[in-house]
Amino acid sequence: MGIWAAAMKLPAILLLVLILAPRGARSADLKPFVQEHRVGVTIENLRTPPGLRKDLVSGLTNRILIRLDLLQEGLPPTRKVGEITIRYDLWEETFSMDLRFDAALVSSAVFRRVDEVVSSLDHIKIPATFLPDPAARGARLMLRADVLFNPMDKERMDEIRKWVAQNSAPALSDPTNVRPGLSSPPPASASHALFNKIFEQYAAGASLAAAWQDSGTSTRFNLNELPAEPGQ
Amino acid sequence: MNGMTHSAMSAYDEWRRLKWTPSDIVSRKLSKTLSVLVLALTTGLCNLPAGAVESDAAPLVVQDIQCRGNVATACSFIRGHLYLTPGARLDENEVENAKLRLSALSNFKSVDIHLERGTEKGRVILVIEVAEADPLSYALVLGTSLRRNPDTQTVAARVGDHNLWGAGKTLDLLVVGDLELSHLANKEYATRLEYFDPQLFGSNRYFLATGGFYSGATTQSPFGGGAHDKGDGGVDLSFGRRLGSFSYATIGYRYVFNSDPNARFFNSPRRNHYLAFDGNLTTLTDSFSRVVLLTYGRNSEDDAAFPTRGWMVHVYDNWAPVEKQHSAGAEARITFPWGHGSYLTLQTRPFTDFNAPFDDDLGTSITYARSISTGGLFEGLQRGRWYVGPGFTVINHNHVEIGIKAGIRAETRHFGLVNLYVIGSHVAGASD
Repeated sequence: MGIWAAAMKLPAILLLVLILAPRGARSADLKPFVQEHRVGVTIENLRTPPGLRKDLVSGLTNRILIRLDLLQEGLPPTRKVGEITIRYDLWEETFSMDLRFDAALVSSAVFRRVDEVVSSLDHIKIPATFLPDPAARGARLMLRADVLFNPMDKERMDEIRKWVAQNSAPALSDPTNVRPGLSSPPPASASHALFNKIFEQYAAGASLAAAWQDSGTSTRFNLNELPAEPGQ
Repeated sequence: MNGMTHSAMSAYDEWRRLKWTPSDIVSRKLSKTLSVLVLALTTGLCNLPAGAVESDAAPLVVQDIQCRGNVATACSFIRGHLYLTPGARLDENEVENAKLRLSALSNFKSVDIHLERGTEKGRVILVIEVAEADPLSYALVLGTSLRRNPDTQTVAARVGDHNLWGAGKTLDLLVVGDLELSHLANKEYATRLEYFDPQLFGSNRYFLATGGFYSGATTQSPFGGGAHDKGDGGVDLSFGRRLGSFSYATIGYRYVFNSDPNARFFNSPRRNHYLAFDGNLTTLTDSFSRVVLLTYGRNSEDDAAFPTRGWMVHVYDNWAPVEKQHSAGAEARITFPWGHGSYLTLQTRPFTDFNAPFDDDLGTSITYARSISTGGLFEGLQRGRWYVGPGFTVINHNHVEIGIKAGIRAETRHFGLVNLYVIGSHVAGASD
């Protein structure tokens, strides 16, 4: 048994070493409100990508997809999909931000400073869009949001994956890669991690994938308990 | 999914289980129609500051494409992954695709693409900014093998430079050590230094691999008389050609110095085992002194260490012309998704008796693997899977070894690829 213990000790220690200090993960806060009998929500403390500020001034369009579900007791979830697009004008040096919900333009704004954009993303107010079933009045409700930064649809992921499969074979870094064991993998890199992150979601069957996403769930609520916002 | 708590997920699943009735469908449709109307009326409710103005986005034209941050990598190589040319209208989808293509390569630590102002409004310079990755890669294995006496503890390591001379060539050093658990004096090690040119003379079709190997072993006679040391090595050289997208054929030659001509007739523990390369696979096996190596195969697996789908077949013939002996065999494997984040791998290696130096297995097996979530407790992992599965090996046509293997394979941020496994078996009909 002593030999057994010695044999198993090393893998166990190594496994512990591999698991580095965990970092706490928080998720977005959802604060629902009611407006003319409809439910809206404010998304706060959204976890944004580390490179957001750089992305915002890249001159390329940044897209943020918001999938919002109203969960109502006794009914299937009701889903609304919104999208925020942010684009930096290289000549005017301004940021234009559009919010669309269910394909309809809800608002459009221009900012002068990147801080203003980041600040607005920390407090996204989704207009009152859900109409809870009147029959279920008094029932408990819940909101859930998935926020995906620069998402990619399955069709495009298919194309990229096919490209990678076809192009990695002729440039196979090591012919011993036939074996799926420890066959001299290419060095792990952050950029490869980005690709893997997207591909893992793709492999898991996701219709949309994103290198960065956050999600949050509101507490359960009753319509009567929500703060009322003035109507338009 | 980032930020999703377990309780939130459970609550969501709970809600999803609720039933859907025809009246609900009607009310949902009505609700949707009303929602659209309300949305149109509530324009401006988003928390945007006053002074918001309408934005207009004119189409942009690519004036130039530049690379930044590349030292060992040619800009033409980087630009080749972007299917846009100067003068073309900027296609942001294509820019995103190019970023992903470049990110899929191991050459770069990071890839960023941004625009800069061109000579006039509407014309942009597309800048691809890369940080080149450390070309060194590492792999580490700890495996406990409780099969076919003696039980052994395997330690293996590999370090490779994947961008030798900045030219994409590979130099790999492999070391494997086996320690007999019940008799610690008995140990064996094998080493191999290998050079691989994936694009021989710049060709996308031809590749070359050559290496030198050396193995040593210390065995203690059970009848006393002290330890016996043995050791020898050799060299090999193989040329390969890729056929189509996923197939290959290779031809090579292996020469083993001082190999005992009768080694093939010894029992396995008495043979020297080399990290021998057959043109595509590196295996821990014995060998004749002069061997012609022929292989043919196809591999469409989408990832070497963490395949999610694809299949491979590899056939080989190690021909020893002096002894007029052939050692031929085949291996086949298929991997496919099996539920969310799970994968199933079926493998068979019906004719051969070699061991995989870095990942011992039962010749024919079915393996269930599941992805490990890399957040929270497993923040130190880039990606990982645990796996488990039964298998069997037919020994000498008259015994069947039945066993199971379980382990964890992970790509770590600091230690490279790590594989920890335990494999155990029982030989049906054997006395032990």
